[in-house]
Amino acid sequence: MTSWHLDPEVVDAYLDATLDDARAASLEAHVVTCSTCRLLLADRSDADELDALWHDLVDRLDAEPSSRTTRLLLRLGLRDDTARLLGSAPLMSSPWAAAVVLVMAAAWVLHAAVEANATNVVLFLYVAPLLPMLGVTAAYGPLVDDSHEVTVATPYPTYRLALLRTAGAAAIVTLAGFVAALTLPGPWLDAVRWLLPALALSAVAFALLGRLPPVPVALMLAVAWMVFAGALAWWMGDRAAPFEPAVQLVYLALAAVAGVVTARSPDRFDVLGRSS
Amino acid sequence: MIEVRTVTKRFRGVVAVDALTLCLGPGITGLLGPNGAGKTTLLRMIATVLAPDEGSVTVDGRDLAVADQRVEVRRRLGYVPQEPGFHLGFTAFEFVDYVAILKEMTDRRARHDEVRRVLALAGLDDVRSRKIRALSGGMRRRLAIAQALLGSPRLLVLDEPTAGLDPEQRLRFRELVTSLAPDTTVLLSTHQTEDVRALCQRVIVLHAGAARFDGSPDRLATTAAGRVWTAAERDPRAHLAWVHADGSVRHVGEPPAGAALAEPTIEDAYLLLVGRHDDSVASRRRRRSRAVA
Repeated sequence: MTSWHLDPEVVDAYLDATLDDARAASLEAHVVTCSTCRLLLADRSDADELDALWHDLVDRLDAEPSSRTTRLLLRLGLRDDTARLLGSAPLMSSPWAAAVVLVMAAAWVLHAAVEANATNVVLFLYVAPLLPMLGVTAAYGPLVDDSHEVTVATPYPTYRLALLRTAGAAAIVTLAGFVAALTLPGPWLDAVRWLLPALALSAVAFALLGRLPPVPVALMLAVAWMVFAGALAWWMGDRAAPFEPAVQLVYLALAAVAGVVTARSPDRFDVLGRSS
Repeated sequence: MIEVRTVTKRFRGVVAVDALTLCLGPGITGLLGPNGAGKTTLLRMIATVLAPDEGSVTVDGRDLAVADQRVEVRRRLGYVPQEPGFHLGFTAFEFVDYVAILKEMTDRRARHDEVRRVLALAGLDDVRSRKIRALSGGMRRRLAIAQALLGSPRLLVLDEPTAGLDPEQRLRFRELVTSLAPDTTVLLSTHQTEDVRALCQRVIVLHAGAARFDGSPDRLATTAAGRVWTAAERDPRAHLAWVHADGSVRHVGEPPAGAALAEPTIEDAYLLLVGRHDDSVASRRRRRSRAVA
């Protein structure tokens, strides 16, 4: 019970849909707890209209997303179903986001401690491309999704869901890396030279997922990247060699090839245990 | 109509399902079998989440090995896995809504109405806004059942749906399953012989990946006729013996002269069937080890 009641004029404005959103929401919250105002609302509207309003109210209460990520995605204008599928991704949860921020912070601190006086940002560049790739490998599959088996048994294309979630994960990690890179010393362009290696590693990881389990994919690519970058730097006698413009073109080409391979086998995420 | 043709599935060399052939029509079919008999593996293959190593599975003529046809089957499928996982931070409504999106229900209002319908069917209407982490084990099991009912599927694959349900919830589950449309094909695995007796027109006993019995529950019970008896003392030759509340001892196995024969149940028949195959497997192993020695 409440000690105040709605003004009939406000109720009329609500029924005419001329009340602003904030006051309409306040009115709806009030009528949920106030039987007197529910009666007032009933008296001033026809039964069908009231049923529809009540149904709409219940629907909105039922469907209010509990995940902050989903609410944010809805506010950003994503479609309801896309926001909910993306918001349910394990990598979108707060612990994962916190882990990403921590790793980025660690890479930054490491760089600051080791190369405080250097003009380049090489150490950060070596670590940063791995993070979106790790995000991709951890975005989809039975290891990270508790309801994976229920998900797979639905008609929703597993390829599309995997792509949606990995893209979401990679976007978050890349954004965090980008922000961290901007705080590093030196020209800002130097600090974003990890983006194409990150794109290549992420694209190759996605092309391999569904064929190989995510943990071996992540380990294999992390080792391959470190060996490749280290060997190139040693051979060229320059620690920044893996990030030179000519090598960046190789990353771009690798990402394109991985994209083609991915597009040619869209059903590989489909059936669990294919290789068992 | 589900057709399973000479399907084999192995895990690291161990055969879980062994050249199994089955044909299932509308109605409720129960799968009985001990742990490791291959029930879950068979259900997962029919539910399109596991591919057989050999053989084929078709549902209404659609081959599950073909991607497009598999998707068509999924449009008509409701599935409760043995261990349904949940996004624990979701509310019950949100979880079922999430599955409804995956089931291609794109109209938001119609989808939400359907979500409320299945939650009410599963008796979860009052807790639909509660987080899943706050739901009991029985409620979570009912939530898994609710998501399987979305869209009134023609094929329901339920892996131990009554595990963790209290007696009242089990009765409500029976009411729910028996109220489904008569052309719905329901395949459920269970360890509860009572569920089989109450629900199923047909029962298949799986053991070591093969079907050891296929027929009606009544016919299963009659396979134990003449081999269930009661006596005042426990007989060591009995396959299994246990004391009744009235002090008499119920025996399953070959009756000695003079013992009183008892009416067999599905449970007795199941014990005899599985026990006999356990014995034959054990004797094969003994023969093999003697031959090796």
